[in-house]
Amino acid sequence: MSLPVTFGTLSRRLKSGITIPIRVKNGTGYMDSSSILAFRIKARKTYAVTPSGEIPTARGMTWLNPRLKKLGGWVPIGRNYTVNMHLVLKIGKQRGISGYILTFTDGTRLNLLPGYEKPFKKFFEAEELDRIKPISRPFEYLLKMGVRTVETDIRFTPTAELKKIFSTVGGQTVIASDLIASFLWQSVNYIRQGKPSIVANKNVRSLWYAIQPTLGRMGIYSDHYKTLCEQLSEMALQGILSYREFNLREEGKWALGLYNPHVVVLNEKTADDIGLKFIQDQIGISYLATGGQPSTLTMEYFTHALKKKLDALDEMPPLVIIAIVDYDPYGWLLRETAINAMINFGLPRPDAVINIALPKNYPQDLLHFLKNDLTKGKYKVRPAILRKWMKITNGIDGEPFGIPINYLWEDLENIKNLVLDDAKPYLLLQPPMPTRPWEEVTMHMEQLHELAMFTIQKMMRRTKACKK
Amino acid sequence: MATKKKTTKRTNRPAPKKDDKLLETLLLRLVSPLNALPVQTLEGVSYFRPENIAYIRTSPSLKDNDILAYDLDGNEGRLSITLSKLMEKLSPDPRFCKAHRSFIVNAFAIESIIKDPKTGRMEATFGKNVKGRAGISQDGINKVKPLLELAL
Repeated sequence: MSLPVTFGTLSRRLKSGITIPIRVKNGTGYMDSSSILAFRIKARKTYAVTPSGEIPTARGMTWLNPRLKKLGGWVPIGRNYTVNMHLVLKIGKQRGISGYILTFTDGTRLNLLPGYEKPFKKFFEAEELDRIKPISRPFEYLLKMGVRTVETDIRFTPTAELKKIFSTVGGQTVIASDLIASFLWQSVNYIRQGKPSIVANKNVRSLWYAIQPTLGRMGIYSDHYKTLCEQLSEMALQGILSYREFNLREEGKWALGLYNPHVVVLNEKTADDIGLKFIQDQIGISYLATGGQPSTLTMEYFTHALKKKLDALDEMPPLVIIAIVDYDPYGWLLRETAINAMINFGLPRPDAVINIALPKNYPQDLLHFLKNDLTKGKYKVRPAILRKWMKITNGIDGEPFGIPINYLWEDLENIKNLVLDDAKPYLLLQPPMPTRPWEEVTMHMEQLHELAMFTIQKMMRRTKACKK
Repeated sequence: MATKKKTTKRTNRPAPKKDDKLLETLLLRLVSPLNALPVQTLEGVSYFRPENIAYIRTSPSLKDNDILAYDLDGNEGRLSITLSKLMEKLSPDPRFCKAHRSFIVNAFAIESIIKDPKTGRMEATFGKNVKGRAGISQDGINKVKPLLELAL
């Protein structure tokens, strides 16, 4: 009968291999090879590395080698060590150490030196020893960020243990960014396991307050709030986690349109909130006021809500972005960042992107007073960025000038008309919009109620007649 | 007399082929015919012995399509492969069974099958070291139960 399993795995499972003679006090003892992690040569003597420590063997490697070869699964990892691959549980890398770190079933760690990887690759049928292929993009990014597993809650883990995990090779400095990223990853995993979020209905600052004492214990007193925000934002953009999982409070200025939610007015300033609401009432569009660079938190919440609304429609309408941003390279960049964030969080690429702040939309006689020189002074833009923008827009009559959006907001009717002209071909419902939608919904419900009551009464009359 | 002798022989020495079959079944219960399953962890690659795997599930995270494997010692690792493709790979080992569209379970590692009083769903548990439970569908129950009995 041929064995359906390999001898090595069977030997490991049954804890039975070949007998290895070892030196004991006043004589020779015997050990089973399946419980030995490795053999080590030190000062011309051979030792068996076991979970309980190193034991000198009675025979040298010359005697052991042919026997181990016959058994299979034993390979050298450097000049001094020959290890039992059946007992290797984990292979990884460590900063500042060349080669790989082998972790055995009992937690013992040995260094696999460069140049000795080949038999391992063959044994484990792996192209790379510390990476599996393929690997998902979010997880690969997580590996790049230096996130590590901590078995206990990082906030309540002893300082010495944290220092061991997060310090540099010298052991002197703790890498704050790694610790923060690991804390965020651990927190979201706790939530996924069903634990309540520690920052539910609070803001990102609360996450910082949660980890700040831990950093203080490690001797890190500088403000790493910005690091935390960056790490969180990157993790959200890469799809590793989401702000919604933390149930964070979001105070972004946005609203979805009731009748034309697929047309999104993207405004650079949050101060024009009332104007945006006015446009929404008139055209039924969605709006998002970014307030400079859009926050990832706001983008995620807005995109999620918009996606949900669009998915509920019978047919997906074309997504249209109407950008009300400054006519300059930074306005253009801001628009692109917002659109990319929307795509990243699950919306399709917009079918049309329309800009309102174009020189043609301003009174031509006032252009001279409104324009800003983008090559000098307050509005100076880096030449490379400016060149690229000029190629796309041609500035104002081929000159590197920009115009701020503020002037257009001075006349709400005018800016509404500009939005309407561009949005018209894409609108599901053309203006004038029902301006009191909730009143209409209530009236409709009342009508339905009356209709239902009429049918019920009719049925009841019939039943009575039948009974008679 | 001759007939009597024949009968005695049969009861004392069953056909050797059947012995082999039983031995093979028992051996496969003890050791998997498959190589260790490499799974990605934050620290590197962990090699889960198939007999030590508790269950494998699709990732509950939002964007990735990874699957997560849990071993009986409480370790977790991930793979970027679909559950169906992995099931194909694991099919030579009788201990693995797709008990739910999102779960593959090691039937020989199941400690209990219980009904969640809140959701009313069937779930398999694997001991206190293992994080979480594996969902089992009605169809999955029909697949798992025969595996738990030693079919000869």
